Formats: sequence, C-alpha cells, structure tokens
Amino acid sequence: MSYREQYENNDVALIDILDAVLEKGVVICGDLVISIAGIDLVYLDVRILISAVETLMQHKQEAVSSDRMDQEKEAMSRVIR
Amino acid sequence: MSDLLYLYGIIQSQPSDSELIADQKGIDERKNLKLIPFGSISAVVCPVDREEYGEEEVEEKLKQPEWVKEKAFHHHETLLSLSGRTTLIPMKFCTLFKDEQNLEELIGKKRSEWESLLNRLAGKEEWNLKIYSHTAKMREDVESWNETVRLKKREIEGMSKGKQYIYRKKLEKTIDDEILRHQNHFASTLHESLLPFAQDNADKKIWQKDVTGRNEEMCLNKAYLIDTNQVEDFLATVDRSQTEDGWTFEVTGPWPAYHFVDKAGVVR
Repeated sequence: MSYREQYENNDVALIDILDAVLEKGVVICGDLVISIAGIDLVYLDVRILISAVETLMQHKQEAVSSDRMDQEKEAMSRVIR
Repeated sequence: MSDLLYLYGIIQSQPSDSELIADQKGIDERKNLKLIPFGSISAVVCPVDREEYGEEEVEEKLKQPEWVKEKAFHHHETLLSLSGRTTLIPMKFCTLFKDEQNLEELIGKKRSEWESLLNRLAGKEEWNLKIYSHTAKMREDVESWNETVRLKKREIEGMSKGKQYIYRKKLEKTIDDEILRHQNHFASTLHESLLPFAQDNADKKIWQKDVTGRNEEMCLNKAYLIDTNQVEDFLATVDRSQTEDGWTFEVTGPWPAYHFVDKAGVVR
C-alpha cells in the first residue's frame, strides 16, 4: 500500500475545515462583492468545532454520542474566551 | 428579482469542464453549480436567491452555528471534489457577487494574476501535518534524566523551607522551558527534513488542548504545498519520523490549496 493510500482518507477535524474556509481562501474586497464582515470562530457553537468529520459525503452518517458532545461542550466553554 | 452569484473558486478552462460539476447541488440545495467561462479561466458558481443571500441575510446567517457548520462544510466539500480533478483557486466562504457582470469585471482585473496562480498551483497538492507531544511523559523524562534539573533538585533539598518554595517554582519554570525547547527542536527538525519535498509551506494555528479534544499538546501545525510526484516521498519521510516515542503525528490531505492563495483577491 502506498503512503498516499494510507494517509489520504484520514478523518479531518471540522475545526480545520472551518478555519480554512472562514479564514483562508481568496478574499475579494471591493465594490463588486457583497461585503460580509469577518466571520468570527467564536460565534460558533463550540461543540461543532472539534467533531471529527470524514471527507466527501461520508459526513452524513456521522454520529457523535451525546456524552461526547457534552464533554466537548464543557471543554470548549473553558477554552473560547 | 435576479439571482446573486455564489463563487466557489476559479479553475482553468478546459473542454471537459461540464463533467466536473455535473448535477452538483449548490449551497442552497436547490440550484445546481455552473461554470462560467471567461476565456482561459472559468468561475465555479451557483445562483442563489437575493432574499436569502443578500448582505443582511448572510450577516444574520453567519451568527447561526448550525448554518455555518453545514454550509461551510458544503463549501469545503465542493472545493475538495473539484481540486481532486483540476487545479483550483479556492475562494473564502460566502463570496457573493451581485450579478454576472460584476463577476466578469472582477475577472477582468484579476485574470493575469489568477492565471499565474493557477500555473503555480498546477500539479501540486496541499497537505497538513500536525505534531502532538506527550507532554506529561516528557515532563517525567526531563525530571528524571535532565542533568541540570537533577542537580538543582538535590540543591533544593538542602535549603530552608521558605527558600525551597521559591526555588521549586523556579525549577518548574526551568522544566517548562526545557520541554518547550525540546518540542520546538523536534518540530523544526522534522519540518526542515520535509522542506526538500515541498514547494511552499504555511503556518496554521496551534490549537489548544481543549480545542483538539486530545491529551497531547499540539506543537506543530503546518500546511505544505507539494508537487504531486513528491507526495509519496513527503509522506514516507513523515512516516519514518514517527518511530520516536512521545509524539503523535496527524497527516491530512490533499486539501484544496487554501493556504497558498493569500493576497490573490484584493481588488484595487
């Protein structure tokens, strides 16, 4: 098995996706676009940040147990200021 | 009322383009994605209702975590599936144009810049590497094996109670510094060993433990832009470095080239 096969289907954390699409990518400024103020990760319910997601369509089967959800919620309330 | 245009990204125009997005649903889950060719480059867009995606409406929606989660994921997933098949410049989440004419005007201004960016990104992939350090274990090791720490400990034992307190605090600081030095050294050594395989690299945020939900401490989080034919060597190098105890690696990819399109959008 190639290293690529070994690594390329690794799950990614939702926080990495959000960090990338909310903070990175090309930002177009100017009159041509509808201007949207900066999106603050702090707005987001912290529970959703750490959940691991599988890429490409598999996320629909994703289920996070409510126990884990509560733990994460508690953890995040301590982190995000 | 006419639709707004939600822009996902820019790709190089090619004859088989329409297959890229065949029947894919856009962000509102009703209208399909479409490609608008502007000569050598094409915009991947979907039309959206003005009533739903106007400036104020989107500002409101961005405050709803569930909406952001779902739609940001859709944005990512769309870009990911495109970037697996063609070279792509990813746009930031919620890049919306009033109409096609505005988009065209922008493309007119950015064309040469985006063409060269696409050339730069062609045949390359973004990969992410995180390194976590098992800090508790490392602390034990430093306390037992570090010569300076051992000597200081012995010294402290011979002190008065009051002095002991102060010097213990100082020693804690020395241990923390030693751990940090060790982490930085490990991370930068590995990072340097990967540079021959990467065309570019970018720092990502170091998430705190509570955000990652892990016991280990993150000490490296970087994105690498790698030539497709060097990915195997890059990953092999990472894989071989994982033999040392006390560290956990996390490799993900390929990602859309989010971290290598900085400053490509500003219109003056």
